[in-house]
Amino acid sequence: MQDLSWIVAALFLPLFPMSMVFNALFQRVQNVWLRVALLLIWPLLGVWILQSAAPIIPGWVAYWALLSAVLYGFRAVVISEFGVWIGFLATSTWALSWIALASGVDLDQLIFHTLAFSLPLSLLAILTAELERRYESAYTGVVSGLAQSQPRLSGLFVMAMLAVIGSPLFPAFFSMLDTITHSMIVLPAITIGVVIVWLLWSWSGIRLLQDLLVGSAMTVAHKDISYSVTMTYGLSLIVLIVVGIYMSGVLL
Amino acid sequence: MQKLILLVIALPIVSAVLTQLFSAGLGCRRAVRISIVTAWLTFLFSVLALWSAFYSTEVHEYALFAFWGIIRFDSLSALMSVVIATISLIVHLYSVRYMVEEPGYTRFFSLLSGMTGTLFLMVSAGDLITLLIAWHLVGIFLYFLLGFDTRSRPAFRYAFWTWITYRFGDLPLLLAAVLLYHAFDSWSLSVIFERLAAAPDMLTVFQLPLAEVVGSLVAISAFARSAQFFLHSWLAYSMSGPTPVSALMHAGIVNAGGFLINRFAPVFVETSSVLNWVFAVGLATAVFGSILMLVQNDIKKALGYSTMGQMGFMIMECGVGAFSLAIYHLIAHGFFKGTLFLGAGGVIGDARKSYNVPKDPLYNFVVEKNPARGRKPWLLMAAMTLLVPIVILFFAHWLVAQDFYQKQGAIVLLFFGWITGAQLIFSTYRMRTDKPWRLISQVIISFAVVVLGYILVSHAFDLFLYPDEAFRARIYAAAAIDMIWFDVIVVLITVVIVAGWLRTYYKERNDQRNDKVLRPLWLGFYALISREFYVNDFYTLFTRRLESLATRINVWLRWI
Repeated sequence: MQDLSWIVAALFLPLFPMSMVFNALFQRVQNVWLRVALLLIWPLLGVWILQSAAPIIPGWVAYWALLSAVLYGFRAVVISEFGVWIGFLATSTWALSWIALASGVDLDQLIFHTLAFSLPLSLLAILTAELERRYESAYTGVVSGLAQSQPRLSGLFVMAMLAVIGSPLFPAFFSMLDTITHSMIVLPAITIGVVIVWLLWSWSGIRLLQDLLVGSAMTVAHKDISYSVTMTYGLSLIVLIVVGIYMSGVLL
Repeated sequence: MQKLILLVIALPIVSAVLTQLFSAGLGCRRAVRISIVTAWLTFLFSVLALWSAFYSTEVHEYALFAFWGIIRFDSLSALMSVVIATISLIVHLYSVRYMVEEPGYTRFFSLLSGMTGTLFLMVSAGDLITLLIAWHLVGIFLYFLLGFDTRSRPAFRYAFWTWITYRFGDLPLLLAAVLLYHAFDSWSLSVIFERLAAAPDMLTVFQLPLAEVVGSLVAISAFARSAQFFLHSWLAYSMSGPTPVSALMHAGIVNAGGFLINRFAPVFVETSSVLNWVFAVGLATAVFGSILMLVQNDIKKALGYSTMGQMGFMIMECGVGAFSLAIYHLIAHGFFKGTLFLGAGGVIGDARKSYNVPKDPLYNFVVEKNPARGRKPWLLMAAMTLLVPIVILFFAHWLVAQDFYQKQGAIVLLFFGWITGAQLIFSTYRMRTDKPWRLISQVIISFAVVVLGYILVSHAFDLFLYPDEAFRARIYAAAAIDMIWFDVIVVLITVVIVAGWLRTYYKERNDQRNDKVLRPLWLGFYALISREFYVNDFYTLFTRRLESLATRINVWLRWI
């Protein structure tokens, strides 16, 4: 039974098709703070199960994880709704934890890997809520030209998106670097897949951002977020960078 | 004095933050002054740093963190810093008035300073993590600079092309870095190069030779950054961004491929075949870029393809082992292309005001395509076309180093110099002019000055960047190919070119304007180049197919 506990963990560090449970739940939850809680706690539950049960994980799970990460990264390329996109990216990024694990990353350090993505995804979820509050939608088919009408909110979206897709010096960058460093020797073929997944995130993230920001300002005018709120979010992004630099010391 | 390199990196980064932060309080114009002042200071400090590099060839390293964040001061980083600082300063000054009416004036300067700081970090990175960070950040800054006008969807469309190509190019460098780290247990470039020299035959994943694999990956990264064939489509289309950004991109950023290959020179000297295919890719890019440039009717796009051709030459120079020549090439190209871009707006503006282009011999030849009627004796001209360039080139190399011809790379470069010179004299011969001899003698003098200057300066670069003669010889040796193949290639290209000249002369002499056999072939070829070899069509189709597949999977899995 203990050996099968990794299958339960695969619900929380989602592998396809168990990943559909998380995504269905994430899309159903509309409250932003519940969403943030899901993004932060869900993967930690998976890590906790793995830590407490310490199961023997079959080698082929790494390939399954890669397939899940590629699948959700690829599907995210055509997503136009921020809520759905965040769920897909969370699934794709957390799935890589299995590859990190199979490549020899410590279970204790796995928490850093999951949080490296959960934290910026949470920030993006909060910003998405700001968008929904104004436009009643976070769908880029409805909202566009945000850079013209809400420059502060747009700037924060840009930075949060860059953090999510693993840009330097955010934690996700160092997490990816660590995963690739570990897997290169143990699972070289899988490493190629991991870098492709990273490319898919960059593709889908910038595509989504572009659809949101670019274009003429919408006719319905809404107030931009205040200077003080911008500073608060900006501070959280600086904290993320500091966490990233700290993580580089812990992981690499 | 060497520590100035730290200030050179830090100043633009601080300026990027301050310009944005103080834009509300100080007002746009005052905030931009911060950026301008730091651009001047950075330029002065980088010149001082280069000055100190002339007196000491020692490598100095300054570590910001435990095992990454190492800043390396050596001749390459000092030289590149001056180039970046100069181009950045010119672009800053040009933009003060050019961009003043644009919304987001301070954001532009903030991005410009950020990009400059990142470029300094890239050329001064002393470890692989710092290099990866800077390499990655350049793509991000460039994306937002190209997409500066947030109302313009076309600008962002092509900025995205640039972004995705750059991201594609980041990944091979990442893999190369990780392989080197595994092999030598360090991220530091100095340590890695030292250990690689001690164990050059080390194997890596799949039992492949480490140097070959790393060299190939670094080369692919350089290809993406320097718009080599198949990874070039973004370059000519990224003109929707502001003109100063085009200048900065074509004068500085796109040259990063040549820099990267130079930075990893200690890896490339341990390879046996990588530089050969680097040469092949560079050659293909030079040829295709030049062909595409000739069929453009948009001045900026033509400049874009001209850059592609020049980048091809730069990579080709690396491929023949002339690494320092590639650095000289990127500097020279950077300055002249930057000037062209910054002047392009004025030329277009003048042309819109008045169409009075003077009908001089050049106009006659280039636009109206009228060959000269009165010709000099064919044989004399053919002999001159062949001999003059070769005499100049031989003379130039005799001045530099007598054993130069023992190096294949030098011969290849001589060969290209000869072809270019011959082509120039041939073209001049076809031009309609009252004083053909005067024109031809001017061309020969200019050609001699350019070639002599080029060779002497590149030799000086060689001595500055690679003072160790044995190391220079090893670079050429790594680029060498089998003598039989070398001879075959040289003879083949010569035959093709001479045959081409002969055919053209024959056609011109007999006034055969409509060749019934070759005309359909030429039309087909024109269709091919007017569609830019269908590379963009291929990428567009491929992307659409992928997006369609992703949509189908999403529908099938009910979007969860």
